[in-house]
Amino acid sequence: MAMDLIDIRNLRTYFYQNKGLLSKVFGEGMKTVHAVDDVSLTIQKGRTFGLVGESGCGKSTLGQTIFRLVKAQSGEILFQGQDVLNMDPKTLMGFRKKAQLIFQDQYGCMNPRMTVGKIIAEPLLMRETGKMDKHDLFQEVAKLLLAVNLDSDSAKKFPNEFSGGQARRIGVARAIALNPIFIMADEPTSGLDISTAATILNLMQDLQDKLDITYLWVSHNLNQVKYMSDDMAVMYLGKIVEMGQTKDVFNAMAHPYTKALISAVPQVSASQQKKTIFLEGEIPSPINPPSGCRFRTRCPQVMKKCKTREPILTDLGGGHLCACHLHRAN
Amino acid sequence: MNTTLSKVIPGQMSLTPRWTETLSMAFKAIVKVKGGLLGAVFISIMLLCAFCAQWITPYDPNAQDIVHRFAGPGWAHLLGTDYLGRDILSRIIYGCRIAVLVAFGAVGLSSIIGVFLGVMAGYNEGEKIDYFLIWLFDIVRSFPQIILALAIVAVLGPSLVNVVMALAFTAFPFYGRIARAQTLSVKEADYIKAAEAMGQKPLTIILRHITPNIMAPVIVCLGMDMATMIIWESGLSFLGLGVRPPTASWGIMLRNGYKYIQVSPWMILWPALAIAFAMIAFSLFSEGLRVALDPKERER
Amino acid sequence: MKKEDPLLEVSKLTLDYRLGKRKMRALDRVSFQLEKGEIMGVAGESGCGKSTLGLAIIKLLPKIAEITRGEILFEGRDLLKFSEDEMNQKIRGQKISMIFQNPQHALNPVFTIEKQMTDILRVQEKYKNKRKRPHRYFRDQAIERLTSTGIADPAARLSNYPFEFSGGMKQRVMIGMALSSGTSLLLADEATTALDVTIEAQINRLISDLAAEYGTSVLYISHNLGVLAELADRIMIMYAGQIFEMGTTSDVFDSPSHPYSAALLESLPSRQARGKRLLSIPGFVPPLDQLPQGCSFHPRCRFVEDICTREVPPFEEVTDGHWSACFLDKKRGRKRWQWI
Repeated sequence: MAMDLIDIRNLRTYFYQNKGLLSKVFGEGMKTVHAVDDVSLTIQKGRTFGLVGESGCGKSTLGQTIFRLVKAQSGEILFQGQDVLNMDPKTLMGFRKKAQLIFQDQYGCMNPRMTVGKIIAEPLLMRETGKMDKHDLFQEVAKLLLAVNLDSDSAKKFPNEFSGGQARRIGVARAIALNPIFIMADEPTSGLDISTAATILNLMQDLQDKLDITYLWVSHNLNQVKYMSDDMAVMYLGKIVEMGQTKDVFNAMAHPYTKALISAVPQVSASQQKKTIFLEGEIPSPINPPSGCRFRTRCPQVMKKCKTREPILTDLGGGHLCACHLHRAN
Repeated sequence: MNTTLSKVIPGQMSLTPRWTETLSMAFKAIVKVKGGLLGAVFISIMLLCAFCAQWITPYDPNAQDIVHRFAGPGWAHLLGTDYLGRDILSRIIYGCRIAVLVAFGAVGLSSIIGVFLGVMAGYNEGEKIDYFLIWLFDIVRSFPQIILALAIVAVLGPSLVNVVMALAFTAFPFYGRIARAQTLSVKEADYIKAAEAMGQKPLTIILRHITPNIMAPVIVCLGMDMATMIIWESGLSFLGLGVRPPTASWGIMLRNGYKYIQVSPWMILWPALAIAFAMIAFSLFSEGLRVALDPKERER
Repeated sequence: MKKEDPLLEVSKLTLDYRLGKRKMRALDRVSFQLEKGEIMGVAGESGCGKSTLGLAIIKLLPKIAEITRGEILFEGRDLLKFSEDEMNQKIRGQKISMIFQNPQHALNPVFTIEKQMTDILRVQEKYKNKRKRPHRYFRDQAIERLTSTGIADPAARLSNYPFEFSGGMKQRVMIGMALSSGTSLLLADEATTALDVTIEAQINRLISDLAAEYGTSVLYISHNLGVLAELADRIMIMYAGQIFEMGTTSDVFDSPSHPYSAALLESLPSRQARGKRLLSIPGFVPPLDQLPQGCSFHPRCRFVEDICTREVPPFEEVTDGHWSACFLDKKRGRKRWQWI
């Protein structure tokens, strides 16, 4: 029975724009971006949890909140039972070693003025309490580079000297340097070619098998999420609309947004004629989300009550949750 | 690591390129920029003059030879002599030492103080310290630079050290503003987030991640600024508020040359050319230096 | 019934980029035909030359690009022989249009949509009829264009600035400007790569609807095979400046006749079950100034044979309408290429 590694409860992360006095007097006043609005989910150890959604859905912000890169408004994030948001510095240090992340921008996440070797060595130097022998340090760095199929000569080079796929792999090497048990991968194959992306996916799978890492896989690429993740959640404008095991979500597509999203993904399928559901209109802004169900402005199956009552996540059986008035709890 | 990669990796054991590699790359980069090499050569000449003045000057710069005063360029005195018969060439070379000291001293001091304060302000954007530092920068900057420098030197008394300190004080807000603006954009970068996610201490983040990445515009300014500082020094000395005579500084030479311009144009020509030469040297070199230090400019 | 001449016929187009002493062969003897009303997908990974091909057709290449061979016959005339003036007056924006990946880079942030659209329409009118017309005329045209792309309340939207539009809407504006009844050929370079999935579906449907309505042919460049599979009638797969395979979408994707095409398909997570490895093609794309002898793919090919290392395979028709550049295909017939 897999244990809960991460337990997020009622998390809210808001951003504020136009905080100043002048805006209040002359402008429209302060605007609140409800980036993550009351999200609860559980990630089990050893499994991959996929988080999908389009622009403005809050998936990246959710990830950043877990790592305390942005401040949460309210809620809890339990990592191995301890609340990340209220940790004392010592425990926080421990958390920061066990949980790592891989950034979407494979070049931007590396200091352009540091060599790759120093970039990978940085977490290693933080791990050791005493000073590390130069020789040993190099060995460690070289081992990490080999683990991602880069040769040890790369340590002397600068990030801009590498291709996109290689840069991504350096980011992975840095992430695994501290032997983490949890890694969040934010769009790990964005900007990569088909074959380079395949290399990265294979690498991530291999590392998961060898090192027993739990992944939070944030991606807008549904094919990838279907391939990589065991469980998944679909987000829309800061809320989770459907969640469960990946196979259940893809089979049932209980929420109209999930259905439209999956049907919109272009497929190279051999023969099947796909029936794409086209959603009309644009994705609303997270500053002023629609009342009631946030998806109602584009939902092909919208009903009257969707405007006034916000649907809550209900269990459809077997841990498959959906927030839609079409599937009301009995 | 709990994987089975336990073999020893032979070969080049370093996390950074060898210093010889770095130097040769830097050299190549400086040469690549138009005029960078020329600037480097000019700077080398100036530094040579500055450090080795006592060995390369044909005459003692203060040795007077009234009989041969106001001489034009000739075999005895390559650039001529001034109103006291002192060899102009030797004075130019010693003046170079003053120029270099002032340029490096004033710019060095102001940039170190300015960048440090600027990064502090930028990293703590929105906090009280940020507001205080911006206020400080603005107050100092609102004084016209020349008035401020004059005032400080007038109070402290003219001397090389005081000139350097005065100039440094007038210039530090300039660097502060640049550093702060750069810091504001750099601190949003993903690699800063990566360092934070690792649990890195703020001071380390400032020194290791932020400061090196804001230096590019600072370095360009350094170069331009050095040229400007030489002009300031000349100006202050010209007004009699710089180094004290009989020290040979280009500014003092300009002042004397100005007095006697009808008698001997050479007295003012050579120091003016020297100042121009120094400005060109620093401008070209600073551009080359910026390119050389930027890893992105390296050949793949 | 007489077969109509193709709208676009590219023959043996060869193009080099000159970077100092290095000469990168970006396009190598590229040859294909595009019929009227057809949507042709151009697929390939980065550096294969697909963007270069698009820019070459509309002649927007940088100065360092040098076309050393070949011709681009558009409506029977060789575009390479057109002068810049002729291209601007008759071709660009009128008969041939191009849209790009990032519409925000194509729109000036300090001008309203109305100003930008009417400016272009005015220039085009000048080229076509050399008449001066009142601003109202162009404003109405702009509204018409916006309406055709499905933007709601177009008259009000005209006074917006680009930052007030979402990514999808900006791309609609670009499509509206690019596609009109007079457009014969639309070049789309990664037009929807930067958009969200549901918006991408909308925009691609818009492109295919408008192209059908106006009879426009589309050369759709993308690295996303799924998009091409759903949108394009025919596909060409490029690698290191050459076309490796070309044919109808179903021919190429259902029974690829080139090992590289098959390899790309086996690298897709959508075609593989959870837990199974994806194909990772060994090696790397060679730099374009150091292409290997013989077939440029041979160092990475699983099925390589001796002849591949010595001679360049000719681009030939394998079966009706299905072309391929591989020696082995003829020997093995249309058998599937299984990498893993």
